[in-house]
Amino acid sequence: MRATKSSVVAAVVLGLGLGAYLTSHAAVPEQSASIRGQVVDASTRAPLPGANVILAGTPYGAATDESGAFSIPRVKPGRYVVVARMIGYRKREQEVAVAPGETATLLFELQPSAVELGQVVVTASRMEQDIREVPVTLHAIGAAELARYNASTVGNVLRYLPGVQVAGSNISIRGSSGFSGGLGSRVLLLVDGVPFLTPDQGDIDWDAVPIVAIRQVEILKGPGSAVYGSNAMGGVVNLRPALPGEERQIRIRTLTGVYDMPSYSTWRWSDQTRYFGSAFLDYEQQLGNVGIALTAGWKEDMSYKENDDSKGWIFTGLGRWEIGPNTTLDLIGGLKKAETGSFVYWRNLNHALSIGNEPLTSYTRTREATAYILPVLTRVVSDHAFYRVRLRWRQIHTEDWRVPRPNAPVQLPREKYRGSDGSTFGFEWQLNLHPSVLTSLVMGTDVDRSGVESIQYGKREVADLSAYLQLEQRVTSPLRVSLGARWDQQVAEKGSSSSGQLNPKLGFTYQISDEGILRLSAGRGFRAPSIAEKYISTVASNIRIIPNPALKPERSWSAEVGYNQTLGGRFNVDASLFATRYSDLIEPQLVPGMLQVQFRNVAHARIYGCELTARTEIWPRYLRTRLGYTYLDTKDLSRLPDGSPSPGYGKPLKYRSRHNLVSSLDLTVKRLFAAADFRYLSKVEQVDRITNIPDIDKLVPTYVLDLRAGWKAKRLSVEVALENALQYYYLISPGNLGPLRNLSLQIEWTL
Amino acid sequence: MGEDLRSASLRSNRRVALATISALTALWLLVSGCEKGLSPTRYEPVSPAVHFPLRPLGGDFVGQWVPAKDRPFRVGFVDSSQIRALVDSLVLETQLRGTFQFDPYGNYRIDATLSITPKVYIGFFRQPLVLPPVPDTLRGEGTYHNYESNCMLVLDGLTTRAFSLDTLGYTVRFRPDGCRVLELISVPNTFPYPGFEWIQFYFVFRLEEKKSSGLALGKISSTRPR
Repeated sequence: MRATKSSVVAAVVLGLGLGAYLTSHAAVPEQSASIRGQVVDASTRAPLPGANVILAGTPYGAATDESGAFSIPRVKPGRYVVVARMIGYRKREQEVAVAPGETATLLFELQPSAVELGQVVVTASRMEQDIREVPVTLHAIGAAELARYNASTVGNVLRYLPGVQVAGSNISIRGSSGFSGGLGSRVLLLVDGVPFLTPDQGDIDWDAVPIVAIRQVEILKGPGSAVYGSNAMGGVVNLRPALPGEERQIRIRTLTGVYDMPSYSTWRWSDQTRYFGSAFLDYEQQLGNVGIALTAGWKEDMSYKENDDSKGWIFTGLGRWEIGPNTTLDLIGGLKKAETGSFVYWRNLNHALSIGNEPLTSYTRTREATAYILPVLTRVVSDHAFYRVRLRWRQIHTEDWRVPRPNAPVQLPREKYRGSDGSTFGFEWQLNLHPSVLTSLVMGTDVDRSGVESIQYGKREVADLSAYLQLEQRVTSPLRVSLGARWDQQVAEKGSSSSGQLNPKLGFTYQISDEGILRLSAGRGFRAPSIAEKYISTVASNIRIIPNPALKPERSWSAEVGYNQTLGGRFNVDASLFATRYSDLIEPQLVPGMLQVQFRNVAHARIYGCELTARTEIWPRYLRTRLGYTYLDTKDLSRLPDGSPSPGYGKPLKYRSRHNLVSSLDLTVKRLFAAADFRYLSKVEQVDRITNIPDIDKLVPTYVLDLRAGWKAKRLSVEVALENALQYYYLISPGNLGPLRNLSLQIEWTL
Repeated sequence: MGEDLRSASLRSNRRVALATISALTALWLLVSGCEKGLSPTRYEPVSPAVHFPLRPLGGDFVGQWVPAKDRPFRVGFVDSSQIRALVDSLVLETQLRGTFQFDPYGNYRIDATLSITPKVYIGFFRQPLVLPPVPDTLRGEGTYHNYESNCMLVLDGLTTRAFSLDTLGYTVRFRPDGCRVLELISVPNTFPYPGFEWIQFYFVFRLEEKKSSGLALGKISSTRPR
């Protein structure tokens, strides 16, 4: 790893050198001005917290606080176009001129619109953009909508998006994955733009950032490797943490719920009522030029399945230090400790809630401790340029304990039989340039090193060096071009495969009319194999798995064409067609002649599909609906080593649903609200026929209806949710039933 | 004029709301009328009807196995008082040879022979009464079904001559030297001798893992679909 270490040092020195150069040439205004004001609802005059206010064509901007107020301090004197945006409202622009030492005050009155998608997103190109200017399908979910679902994790909210399936840490966007238990995720999780997959298995931990500490989740559908590198083959999920407000605020959110009993007596494995709950405390304060937002929380879920319970606590914080007029340091950190059960699949369909992947005498309990720090330094170099230095450090410690079952005939001793320590360190330097209002340029370098020490994987280290360039250009008034590429070089241990990857992307948006926009994009994605896939050596679920250091990355090519149209301010429809070709997909394979399994690059596939989303305001300000539908046509194109078609050639991919429908209805009458959400997934057509999971072929489509109702005031809100109201029994993964009907109560109190 | 427009707009909104509520009611009826999803199978797997004289404890049975050096094959009686009422003592000499293979994809291969030689001690006889040995063969290659939390195997296509051995309970243990030991427990059987048929007994095969096992049952498939 000598080459890796020297490369890391070189990249850090390069980044710091460039930063120092630009800093020394920074055009810091001698006497700055500021812009402040308020954003309110035009019809009710109510303040709008969480609205985005930016100075067009500059890096300056702010979000409104609880009273709708915003403040953009230390801007260079001059003329600006100030843009205010908020989900559910039409965006407004105002021109303003500020003289040195002056403070301009503005009032924005936003007109409500159920279908106006006036969201600002950053995930598509590492710069702030109007969501309609992005050439790929991108969803943004704000804090208010996250709270609407009474969900304990972001993953549970993403299930309500069309084309997105989530089962635990396993996420699939537009059919990118079947079921892998999260191992080697083909969707990249980011925390404020920083890659956040586990260093050993490359999977997702939704609990690392509590849902209450998130201000926006952005979901990019399609490859994001040209911007973020490995794992972004199927898409990207970016969790953007909440920023500290201007005023001191304490917020308490509690969630308590209970699962219904299953209808069938043979499924009742416990006589106890099964509860779940969580409690979070948020604290925000501004101390001079330092703002802090701290969250402490506790979560416990007894679960409706045997040995599937979990409990833990988490502490996260975001600090923002305005070091100088042009320099900001953000510090995101977290500490989490949890214990979880090990339910993977059922004993059989007659005992569908009893665990089948453990011996009769014992259970496995996993204990995990995670710590992370993500410092981000942002320095505005001029009105048209700023750069960011991001560091990331994450440490994960896991232990698997074998504990005797309470009623086991033989009480074996409690023992730790497996453990793993993983760490990630990364450094990124990013420069954003806005040479004109028509052009935006983003470039940067990134170094990432992951290390793991465990019984299963041994002591391993991998590193990734990369450089990227993104260009957004308004060619003519209606036409925008988005162009970018990223080079990733994996540096592996001696004897392992090392490879370089160039992942380009090209996209266009064309504003056909004031309310209609066409988009077109194509790009390449890849996923480097995780340490677990390369180096694993263990016996799991009766399967002996051996390492394969020669494993290569998976690759994909994707293209999408889409159209978004708003009609009369009350109806918005978005339609898209997409196609993806996957190659060298990593699959576990039985080694010929041996009773051993090894991960190998064997599978090839293609996915065609279309997606339709529609939002409408049926009864202005009272009744809104959303509808989303995704159709997937998947085909396995794998061949055997001799070139002949594999047994699954031409068949649909395993564990993909052809049809996915989501719909919701929201009724709001003053402070009262009620909502219904419905999800449908057609029955999967292909599953593993040779497996150790009993009754894996027992399949049904999914119909889930969730009902919610509540009352919301300025400082207090109460919401009751009945999930899976029809008590429909469906699968979320092979041999694994989805949540039974459950009733929950969420109370949020702001002091 | 303005009033008319407002009332027309209100009427329109009410119509839309009514249509929505009707559509939702129809959706509700459609969904609530549909099947309830997964349900238990109508019959239990054979397991509840099967009673193992020794309780199998399950474990990881996948591998290639050969008879253990220590007590590879023993016979137990379901009710030993039945034997004591008949004879003073009964000794069964047993032999087991062959291999047992189970792969993780539901395939097995067994090729083994067993032999039981009963020696009956009856009161005043000095020498035991040695009955003719009862040989049997276990041969089969096919699929196994794993029931009840992985502690019972049902073997499709296993052929035997005298005993019923296609339903086996299993327990996997670790010896102090780290080697895995697989115990296969048969369901109750009876002797094929006139007058002895009512005596129920069972077999316990004690197998140890064969080192450097190479198993090729010809099944290649992914267990982790992606």
